[in-house]
Amino acid sequence: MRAESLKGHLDGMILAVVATAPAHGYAVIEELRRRSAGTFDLPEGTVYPALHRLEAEGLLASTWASASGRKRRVYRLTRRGRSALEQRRREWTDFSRAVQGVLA
Amino acid sequence: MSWLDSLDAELGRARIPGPRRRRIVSELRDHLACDPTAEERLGEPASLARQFADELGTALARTAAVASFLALVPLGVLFAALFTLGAVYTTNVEPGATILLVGGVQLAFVGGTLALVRAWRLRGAVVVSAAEGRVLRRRAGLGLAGGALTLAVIAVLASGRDGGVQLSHPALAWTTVGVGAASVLAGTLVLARTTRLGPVAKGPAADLSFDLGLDADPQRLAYAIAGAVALCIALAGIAQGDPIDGLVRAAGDGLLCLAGFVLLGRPLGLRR
Repeated sequence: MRAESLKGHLDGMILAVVATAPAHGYAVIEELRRRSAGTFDLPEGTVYPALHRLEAEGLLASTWASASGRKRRVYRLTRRGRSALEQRRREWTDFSRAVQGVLA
Repeated sequence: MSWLDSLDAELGRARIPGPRRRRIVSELRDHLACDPTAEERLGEPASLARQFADELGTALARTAAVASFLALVPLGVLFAALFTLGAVYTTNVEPGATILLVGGVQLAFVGGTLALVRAWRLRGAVVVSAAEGRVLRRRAGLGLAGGALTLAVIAVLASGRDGGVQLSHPALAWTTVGVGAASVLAGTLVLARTTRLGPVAKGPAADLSFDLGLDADPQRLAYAIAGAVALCIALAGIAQGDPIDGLVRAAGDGLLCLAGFVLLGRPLGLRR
């Protein structure tokens, strides 16, 4: 799927991935790919600016961790992030139901 | 030059501050260690650096705009209490101080409100243009500058240095100065974070019609707002039993609104 089609949905998907368990950037991208069965093969670079922005907006928090002797930034969902994710889920449910109603 | 070195250089070119730049490079180094073939999928360093600047700059500018409004709220509440108690705008206060006080309060109110409105209207935007980022910062800066001016005048009045006339409620006046100064300083610190890092995307800033959510010519909207302000002041004058004074002040404030639109309209994103 083209990256353009994902615009507007990337934030919600990142929040959903991090809601499952704290994750670093590479793991977030891998999980997005896995959950979408490879459909969301987006340019990997786009995820990192989104992670930083979501943190600046207070929806994610991050800390350094160490793995195999490497520094790794691990992101977790904040309380505000959880609320934002719930709202995005509701909006998506309403939207997809409406589109389904028209297309079906 | 390696992909990471190139990214580091491009992040510097996009004016990403040092600590943030080092963090981004560190994260991407870890990414490439997980998958050494990922360079191409990560994209061009220049494009990635611009995306960081755009997304972070947008979020910071919006936060600064909201923070400036929130920083002015305590000052507004305490100033309203002083005003209600008749501690300011008395005949004992020097006319020059009164003009500065009125100017400071109006700049704080207009700048803070405009900053909040534009931030709210752009709340869903992942990236705004560099011009829009500047508008957000200018509005926030104007509001905070107005707040600082108001505080300075109240401090001078409360200390009795404007000719020996003290305000009637010095304790409340000094509380206003103390709380207001801490609050305005906090807002200024948030705004200061945006001076280096801002969005770099091209494109124009919106105007007054976007702020109000109306599909109308901004100049006509400015006339309508100036007219509404003048009408309210004229009606207040009639209600206070002094219609002539009300009409004079109405004309003055209406013209001031239009002058503000003409002089500050472009930098504040009210007109194009």
